[in-house]
Amino acid sequence: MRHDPSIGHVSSDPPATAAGGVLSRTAFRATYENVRLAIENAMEKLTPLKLSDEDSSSIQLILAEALNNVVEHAYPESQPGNIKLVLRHGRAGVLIEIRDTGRPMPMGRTPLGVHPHEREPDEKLPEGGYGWFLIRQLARDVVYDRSNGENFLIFRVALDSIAS
Amino acid sequence: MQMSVSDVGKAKVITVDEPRIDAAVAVRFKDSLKELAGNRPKQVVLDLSKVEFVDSSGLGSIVGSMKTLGRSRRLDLVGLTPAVAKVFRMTRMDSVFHIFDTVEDAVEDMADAS
Repeated sequence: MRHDPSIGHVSSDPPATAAGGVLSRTAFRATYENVRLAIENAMEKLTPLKLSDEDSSSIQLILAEALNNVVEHAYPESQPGNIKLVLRHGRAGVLIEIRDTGRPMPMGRTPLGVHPHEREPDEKLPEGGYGWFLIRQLARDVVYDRSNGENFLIFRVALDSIAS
Repeated sequence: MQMSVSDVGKAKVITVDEPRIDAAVAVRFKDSLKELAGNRPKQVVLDLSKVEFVDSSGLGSIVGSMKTLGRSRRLDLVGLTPAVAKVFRMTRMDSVFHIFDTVEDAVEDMADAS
């Protein structure tokens, strides 16, 4: 049966096939509580992949850092917009696609992900700024694009638990 | 934020009774820890054995809690599950804290140090 991706604009659960494809497609208001729920939901949808603990924690971390960044930086606190999250599974691993209609990335590109201590050597114990540092270490490919007022981010996570 | 507190020897042991310390609870976590730690004991032991996931906001709130306690007091960590240990290792924060397997190990270390 043909699956029309344009139909699943709010939340749908297309079947995960052996050949890969869309595992999960959701949209939610950008709050930290919803990010937590979206991650828990996403991990449940990924269970058929039988991920190793290592892959599972990497994917959770990338999702948390990228989605929390949207909540914190893309939208004003008083007016959170929506986040669209799609998870795909293919031979190259798991693809995480995140879209929002908030502010663009600073200077139109994703941060380099330098350890906060290296950015501010005087700060011995930085309490923040680890998000992109973690993402850069865990994600293989990062693609950022912006068009028609929409931010578009893709991360690929290579899996050690699945032969590719 | 579900956290419980007990006294083991001279240490204040704070156990996090939730599976996640993330951006949704980071501020509440820090406030609760400060309140539960009080201002007396030299050693506060944070038992993370029930915590399965910490993101960078959660990590920041643990680092912030240590700073709040001040230089003369220790915030030690015990019971790091693999996913939590990974975040500390990747950010090199594992070199900033004293990390032990069990509460008893942490309390014993403090007794030896003083």
